[in-house]
Amino acid sequence: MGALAPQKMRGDVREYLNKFDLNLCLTCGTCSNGCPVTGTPGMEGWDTRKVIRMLAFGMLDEVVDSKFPWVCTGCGRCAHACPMGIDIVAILAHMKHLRARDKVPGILHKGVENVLKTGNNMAVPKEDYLFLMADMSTEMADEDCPGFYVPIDKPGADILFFPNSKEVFADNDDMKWWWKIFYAARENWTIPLENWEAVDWGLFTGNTEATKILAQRKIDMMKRLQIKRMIMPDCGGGSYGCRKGMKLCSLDDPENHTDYIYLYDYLKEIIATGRIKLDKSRNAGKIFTWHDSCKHGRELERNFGKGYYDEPRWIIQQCVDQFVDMEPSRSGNYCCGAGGGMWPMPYEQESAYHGRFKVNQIKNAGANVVVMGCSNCHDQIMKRLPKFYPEDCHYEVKYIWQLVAETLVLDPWTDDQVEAAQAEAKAQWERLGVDLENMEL
Amino acid sequence: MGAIEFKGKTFGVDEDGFIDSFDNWCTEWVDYVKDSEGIPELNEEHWKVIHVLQDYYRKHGIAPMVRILTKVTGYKLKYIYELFPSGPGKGACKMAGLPKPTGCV
Repeated sequence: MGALAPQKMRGDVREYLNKFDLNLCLTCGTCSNGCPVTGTPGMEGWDTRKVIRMLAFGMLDEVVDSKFPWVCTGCGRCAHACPMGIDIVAILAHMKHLRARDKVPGILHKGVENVLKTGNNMAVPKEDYLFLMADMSTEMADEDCPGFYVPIDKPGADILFFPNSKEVFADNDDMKWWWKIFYAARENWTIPLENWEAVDWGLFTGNTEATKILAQRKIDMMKRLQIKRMIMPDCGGGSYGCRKGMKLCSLDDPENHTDYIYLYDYLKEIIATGRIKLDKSRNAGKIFTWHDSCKHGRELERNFGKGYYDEPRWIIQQCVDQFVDMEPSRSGNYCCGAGGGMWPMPYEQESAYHGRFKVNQIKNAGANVVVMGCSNCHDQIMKRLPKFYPEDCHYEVKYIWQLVAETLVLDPWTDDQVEAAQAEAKAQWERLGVDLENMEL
Repeated sequence: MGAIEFKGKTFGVDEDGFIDSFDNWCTEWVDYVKDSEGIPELNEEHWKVIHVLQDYYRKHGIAPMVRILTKVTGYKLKYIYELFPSGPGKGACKMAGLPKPTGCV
């Protein structure tokens, strides 16, 4: 092999990277030291510092063709710590963007194609979606929420909520926690009939155009149905992608500005204003900790000026008596290892290796229950990490809205409220052509 | 794309280890996945799940939602997990020759 010489980059890439001025890099290695990818078996010693040096040298193809940008979870510890403020996360996301679409790892690009074509990543047909919502509405109403139903495309609703396709497809019962909260708060809420996907795999694949389209759809839906506020999807990628996409849409047209609320602000609001009541005694005897998801904390703060650190801790402490923080936490927290698409990507070993710090953090905190607000983190910490570190993972995992729902004291609806809701439900299912009794599966 | 050799057959597989085409599915593939998923023996219930998945896939080109799978088979989700420990979206779909579902499942 001959001596390496600096290479000339494609004009568009050079223009993009010029935004970052890689000459600022001091080569100090703070990024690599803070990055859980460093040392990953099979990565042949690649690390963040080296990748930035490679790009400064013009070695674009080597980086784009490598696995490195894909095993980066976008957690942002590197950029958070970089003394020269280089936005390494954005650079690596752009390396994903430059990968040919037929070379995107695993199923990710297929999911993007599905969501653009069908409105959800998994191409769940509309009739199946409606069947599920109707069937589960009946189930919830029969269980302990008389009058409950899932409002779909309800004009003038106060809250728009986006289902996550993994819950529509598989983890159906996980949707009930939010529903129970809306029921208890007597919320005027709705979910979309079309384009309901909460998740944004455009973000995971560096597909900026898809991210923008998904955000525009949400904006259009808010306008069409004249809804007051949408709850940002819980999924870290979903909410962060939506914020990024909404920013692009608003730059195109200021009329695209849309009112949203993060789930933490929403839960805090309904607890603080007394719209829901909680009974802490249900959670007595257990120690709870909070996992700061990167896209709800550090990365949100770094990119949009506000990370959710205090709000989730306040919410948890309305539900439990014993709370401990992990070390480090807040903006210094370690990623679970599933960000950036690493949960569905075919790099399970690398993802689990990334999560090794998380396992230690939880163990050291001595918590019985790990609470979180992102569905990717949830599955990683609940399913993948115990599979790879069975000796060290002895904890329960809960979504923060699950904790709230399980701590709720339900104030029963009046007979009039139940009857009115039942009439609304009947009219809705008729309008949508859903007849559970005569449905052919 | 990789390749798996098992009982004299060669299967093309994707990065996630799913068969490259539903058309290449055969009982040897089922045996291969059974071993890799750590399922000791297949019973009638396993086969019922496989057939329901395949029937739906032939009609719609995707795997059915779990609630449809549970309604049509009459099995509770917990039982499907007993049959296929890695779950309906991973183990069962893989064994039935369906592509990996394109979601965070």
